[in-house]
Amino acid sequence: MDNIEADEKHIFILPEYNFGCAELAGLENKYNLFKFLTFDESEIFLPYFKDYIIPNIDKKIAFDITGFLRHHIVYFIRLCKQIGINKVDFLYSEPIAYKNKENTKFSKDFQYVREIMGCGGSHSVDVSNDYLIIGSGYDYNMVLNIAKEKKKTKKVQILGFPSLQADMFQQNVLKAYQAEEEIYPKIELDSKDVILAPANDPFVTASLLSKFVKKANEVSPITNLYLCPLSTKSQTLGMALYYIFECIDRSVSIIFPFCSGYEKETSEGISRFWLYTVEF
Amino acid sequence: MAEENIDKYYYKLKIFSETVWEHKISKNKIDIWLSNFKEEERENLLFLLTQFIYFSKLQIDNMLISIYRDFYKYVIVENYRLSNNNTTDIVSIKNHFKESERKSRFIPIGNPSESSSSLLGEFRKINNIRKDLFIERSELLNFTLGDIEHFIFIDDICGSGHQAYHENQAYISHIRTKFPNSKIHYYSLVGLEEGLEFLNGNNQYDFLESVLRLDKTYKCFSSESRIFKNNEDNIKQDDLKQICESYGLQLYESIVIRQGGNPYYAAPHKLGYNDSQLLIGFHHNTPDNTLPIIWYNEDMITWNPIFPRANKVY
Repeated sequence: MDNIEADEKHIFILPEYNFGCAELAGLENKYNLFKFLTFDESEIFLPYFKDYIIPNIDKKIAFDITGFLRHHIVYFIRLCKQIGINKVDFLYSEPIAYKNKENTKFSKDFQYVREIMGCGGSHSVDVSNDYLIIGSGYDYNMVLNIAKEKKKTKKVQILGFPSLQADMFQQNVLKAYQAEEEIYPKIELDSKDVILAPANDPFVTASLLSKFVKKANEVSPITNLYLCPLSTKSQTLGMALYYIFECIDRSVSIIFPFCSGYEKETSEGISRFWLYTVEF
Repeated sequence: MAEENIDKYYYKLKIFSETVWEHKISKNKIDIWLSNFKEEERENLLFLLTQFIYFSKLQIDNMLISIYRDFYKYVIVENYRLSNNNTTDIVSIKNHFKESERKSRFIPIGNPSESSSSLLGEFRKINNIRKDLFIERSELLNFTLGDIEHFIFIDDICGSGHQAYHENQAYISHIRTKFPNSKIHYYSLVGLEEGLEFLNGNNQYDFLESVLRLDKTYKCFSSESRIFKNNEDNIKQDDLKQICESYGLQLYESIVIRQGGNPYYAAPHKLGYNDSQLLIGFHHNTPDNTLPIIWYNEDMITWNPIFPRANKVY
């Protein structure tokens, strides 16, 4: 943050992380802090876009996705597309490791599943060939919650490989294995229901997702498609890009299991720093 | 052994075997491997095995795709777009890439019998690349043909980086002399950061990258080892290191003696070649950078490896 040159630097303080005043003390004088009490992505971003993004639409925008929650990232991109922004740089810091490997806790207190704002399609009443594509990460409780919500859909998992770190793919598979009863009876990594996409590449993720859906449609037209980003933030960005470029006004929705809280410190160190330039 | 931990480790290994590890191990195989060790050492070793990172054929195929797509193709496309006012003209981008590919040669590190050579065959197939764009390293010294712009060396692992540096020196000098305007690339599936830094510091290659980078936290017994971080099972790093060193020394000594060397030279390799201390294996082989207790597969000492190293000639 300190090393980035910008006219203005804004930090969002999200209620899900439950930061205390002492934790924010060092930031108060350095940055413009936006503190929110609402959990609703539209209540956070609509006023922000109105006050800051739209009046500065000709300026360069960099959005650091590292600490944002997945539904915020998706909604932010959806709004960028909606208002006609040309280009945004997305930043992402890769962790060296997750704190407790595959046992790292991420989300707390699952509440409900709903569509992310602006990402609800108009769905068909024919549900005979519905698909649910899950970006499957370590947070397997959330994978379970989403799979339960869309019980009758065909389930497809996107697993991050090449992974952020060499040991993370195995750890991810361990977690996915524990969710397998709801997803499918047995995890077969080389089956057509598993998509391997680089954990740190949103563009390849979007492209592989697009290819998968086209191929599935050729075999038998998908009646309704549900996307759920639960893997890395880069893959979340990829899923959102696929949605805004290929799915708006179709029977496709991005759904998400909402929680009332998230752990603040889930990872250790920064191994690499990514800059993804999205041209809308 | 602490039964609770043991059950947990076997369960984890069962999942790995049924998924990522391509059914390469079974409980029986694990027990045979454990029989190399004393009863009181086995819990530690079982824990260590749960930390092993295996790359299956499927993963390696995806890494080979990643090398071609992310390090080679996209970089060529990105540079072309940048130098052409960010063009999105798909026809001109495709033509430029096709022309760049025609002016590229892909080369395995090592001789034709080594693993990176067979890896390159997979690389060609999976990325659907023309056969005539591949040459063996030995052919390079006689290679003076045409207007080649890219020489791309591909390796499975970059350990210390010394092999990629020393063994390639003559070939790279030849390329620099005969093709002064060409770019030389080195890409590996997995690379130790210290090895990649060594190569980078020597400026032998113009482009250098590894699909997965291993920092010092992947060294089993380093003070920053990720294996023992937040470990709740009361596995002592020092105890395990001592076990691995003690067996590893005997095993590596036998290899050095067989090569006609002084066993004294085995010490730096008792935890893997040049003290790499890794715990990784590939579908096609286990690198000698991994702890010898995992892969030792020679006749001189009776040893049951869990992920045997195929290459018996050193």
